[in-house]
Amino acid sequence: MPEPTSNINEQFTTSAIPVGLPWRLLVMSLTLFVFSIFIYFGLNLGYKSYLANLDKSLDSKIAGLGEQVNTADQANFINFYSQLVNLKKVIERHLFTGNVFGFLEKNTLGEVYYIDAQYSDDGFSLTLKGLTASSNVLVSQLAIFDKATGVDRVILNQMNADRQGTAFGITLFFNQDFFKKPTL
Amino acid sequence: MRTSTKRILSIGLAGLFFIGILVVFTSLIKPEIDEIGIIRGLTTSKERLFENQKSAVSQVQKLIGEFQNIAKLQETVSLALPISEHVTQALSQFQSIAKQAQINLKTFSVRPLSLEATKQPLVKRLGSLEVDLNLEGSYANLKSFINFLETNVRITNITSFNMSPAVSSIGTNQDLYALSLSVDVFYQENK
Repeated sequence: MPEPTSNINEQFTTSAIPVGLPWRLLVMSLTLFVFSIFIYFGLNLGYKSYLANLDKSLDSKIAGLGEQVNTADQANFINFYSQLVNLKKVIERHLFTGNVFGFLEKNTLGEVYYIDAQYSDDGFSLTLKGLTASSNVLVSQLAIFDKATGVDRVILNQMNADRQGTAFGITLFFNQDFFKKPTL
Repeated sequence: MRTSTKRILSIGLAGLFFIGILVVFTSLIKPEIDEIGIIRGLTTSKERLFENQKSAVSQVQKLIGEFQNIAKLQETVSLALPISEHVTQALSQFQSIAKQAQINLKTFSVRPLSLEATKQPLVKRLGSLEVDLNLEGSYANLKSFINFLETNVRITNITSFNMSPAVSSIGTNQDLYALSLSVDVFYQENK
């Protein structure tokens, strides 16, 4: 009987399964783990601190901009700008009330005498008290006022005729445009 | 160590590392990325703000430079609309006008009115003083006074007046009238 060529152990041993795959898997997972830690520290210590520094430098630059303009010059300039805006507002509101004198001189009959004149910019009204030779003259005077430019309406407040003449009270309401330009 | 043990150990460790990667990503990297996103947004908006401010500051500096060349204009504007009440200046102007028109300034009283609110940014509030004047003079001179007053450098608005013969001229043909005037003079608040 021929002798066996190999020992019993060799005959029963199955071929060895290679351990390369789990080993490579281990190395790859370790590399990825280390890489993830590296990314974390890169973000935390690198990029984040870079952004924090950039933020700080921007803050100081923005704060520095305010100091470039002298505070006194700034206040003066704001005052001047404000004065111009307010001046425009005041000029737009400015009216020439003295225009009523020229108006009365131009639109009063020779037989009419005024003894009192009251003006108020509330409604642009002028209340006149006076005397005329007769009621006919007063009627003519009212007709002149009615036709005059700048007058919105005329109201006869009172009339009192006697031998000496006719006393009257009239209120004239002017248009606002009448006071816009000086005529004195 | 047996090969099978090594294999199991390798697979186990690899599994642990993968779990570790997930933990690092979810609990460290992801919050970090979110935080960095917020900081980046903030930085970008600050950069934009800085650029805008820089351009605004250069424009303001240019304007201030131009403004220093027109200081005389500001003096004139301040005469028309002074900063703060300047009651003494108003009284002195009214006296000068009365003297120029040859009329008698009998009384002068001042009442400050409330400041007007403004909606425009940087614009200060407009104030006014109600001044009551009692004057006496001839018709022509009183008319001149009103004319001078309305063309005065300090802007003055007549709100009401009452003109009648002066008490001393009643019953005579004397050309003497009494004029009660109420005027508004303006100023800008100094704050």
